[in-house]
Amino acid sequence: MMVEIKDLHASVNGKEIIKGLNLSVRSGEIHAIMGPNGSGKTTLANAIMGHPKITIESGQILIDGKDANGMKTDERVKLGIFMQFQNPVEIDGVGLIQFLRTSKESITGSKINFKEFMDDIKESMKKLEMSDDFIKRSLNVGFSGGEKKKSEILQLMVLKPSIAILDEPDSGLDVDALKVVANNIQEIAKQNNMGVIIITHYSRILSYIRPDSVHVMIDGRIVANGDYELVKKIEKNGYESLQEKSK
Amino acid sequence: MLYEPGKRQAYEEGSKISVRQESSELYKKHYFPLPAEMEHIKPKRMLKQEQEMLDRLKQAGIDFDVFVSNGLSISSLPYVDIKIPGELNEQEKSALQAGIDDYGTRFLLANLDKIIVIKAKSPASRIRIGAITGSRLNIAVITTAPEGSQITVTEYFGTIGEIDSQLGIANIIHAERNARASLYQIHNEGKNSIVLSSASDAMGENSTLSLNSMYGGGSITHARNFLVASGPASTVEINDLAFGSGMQKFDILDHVENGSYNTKVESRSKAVVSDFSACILKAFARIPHGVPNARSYVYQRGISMSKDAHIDALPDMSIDESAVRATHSSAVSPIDADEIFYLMARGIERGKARKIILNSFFGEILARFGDLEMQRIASSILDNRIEGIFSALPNPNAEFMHVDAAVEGIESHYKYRK
Repeated sequence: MMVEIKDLHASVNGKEIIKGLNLSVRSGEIHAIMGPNGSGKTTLANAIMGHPKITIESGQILIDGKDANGMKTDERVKLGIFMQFQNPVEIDGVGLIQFLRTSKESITGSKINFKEFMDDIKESMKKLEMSDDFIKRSLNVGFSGGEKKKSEILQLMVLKPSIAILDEPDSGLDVDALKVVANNIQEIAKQNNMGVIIITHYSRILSYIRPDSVHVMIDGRIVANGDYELVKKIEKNGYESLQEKSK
Repeated sequence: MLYEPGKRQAYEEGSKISVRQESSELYKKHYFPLPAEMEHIKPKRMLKQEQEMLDRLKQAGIDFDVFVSNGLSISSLPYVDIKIPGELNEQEKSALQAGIDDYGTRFLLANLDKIIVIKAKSPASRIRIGAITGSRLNIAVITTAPEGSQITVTEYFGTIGEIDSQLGIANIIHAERNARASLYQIHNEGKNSIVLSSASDAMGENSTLSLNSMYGGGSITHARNFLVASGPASTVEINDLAFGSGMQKFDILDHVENGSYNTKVESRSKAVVSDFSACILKAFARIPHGVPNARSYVYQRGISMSKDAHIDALPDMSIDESAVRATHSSAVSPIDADEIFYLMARGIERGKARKIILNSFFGEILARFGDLEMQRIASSILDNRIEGIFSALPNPNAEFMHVDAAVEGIESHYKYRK
């Protein structure tokens, strides 16, 4: 499984946000995309997922060799893509468990064994140190920022995609929760040979999940590529020097 | 001919009336007009289609203790009488005069075909009423909940699919001291019907009245609920749901009042409209002077599914007492595009995502339907309507997804799933 982005130009409401971006991510690889606020990281994630407000002006997104242009969001997901949302929506009246079951059945196209499914959920919840109360609650309703992040990672663990885009999985988490979330991401990625794109501002989560590749995105372009050493540089010097470079 | 309250003789078959349409000064600019000249003509015997629909309802697992159609009225319960207007005693006649001064309500009260009188004596009773018509049918249900009792009245209304018809229901409820009365109305009329509905009450000390309505049928629905928490420490709760498609129109007014001290009134309404459908949600809460520690709550939400559909949510309050708590809120929007995207980003196709969101939207109110059978029927009908099926019958195999606040555990999510 591979996601390839070739010279992508994308706009939102007529404003170009992604300005010629290239990226390839394979199953089993961990990529980090870092960058300051407003650099287009979330727009990139949404573009891969086929958000209706994003217009692809030129370039290509290929999912497992298939051109995603014109492909609906759910069709992309069925090919093995997952996105963890930075701010997941709250939907009152939709139970988290029933939602996950519907999602799993939609992706796999077959009915699931409910007992096995629940065992899987309970095990994942235990690993994420989530209370049993989540089983009874509506989707993200009344969840704290940290609980929402854990709920998203729970979905990742249950749905087991081939490539996961994690949009700021570290925001809103305290130090302990960050460690729990990061360890679980790493474990599920290893177990399922999952490709991971971690979008983040900060290096902290990357000290737990060591990326194979690090990309710095500024003003809709990738301006630097490297490995964990690049993370250290950013931690030390910030994005300023790279911003200069991008001009 | 001008309308005169309580004068049934003025409305012999074929007679017509013409009066002003909206008596509420507050809402006189916001209403859907009923036909200016309404007639009350009905066949004298049960139609073949009515019998067929009754049979189909039974097959779908919907049964009645009391059934009324044009030519048939049956009660299988000893404490439920079905009367015609000439058989009413003075107390019952007086009860029928209560309520809102409204064109539709007065028309149906003046043209009553049958009056169902419920005088339950046991501490807990549940009465299932069904009414079906292929022409015109007006009924009143007078319910008395004796002191300390709990009474549940469920009402199912249907008209024959394509036939022009009119169905009217007036509920008059008297909950005595410490009693609890729960009423459920499911309106699943055909798309060519005029639906008239009204409710009024008298409440004893520390009593509770819950009125739960689902309006899904009819070309025009005209509902007027005039409920007062008149007894000290009494509670009135109204839960309304409406789903409209095609050219359907809903004009729903909840008029609630705190009529005594320590009382609580709540009006919750939710509507979804699609195609060219329109809905006016009117809720007026009044807290008069001299009712300290009253609580009043008005909540309205709507989803408009198309550019040609619209919802007017019009909450209003009049508060003349200082030591009270009163809240109102209303919001109408299209279906949330971010919610759709989120569900699609979990592999759920757009149509199913829309269905999940609408079911969850209604689920909040449905979860307040304490009677699980009525909850099941209402959710099943709504499910059909969300699928675009305008049917006089609920689909017993309908999928349903919502969190039931009343039942704990995972399996509660599936209990409406066949």
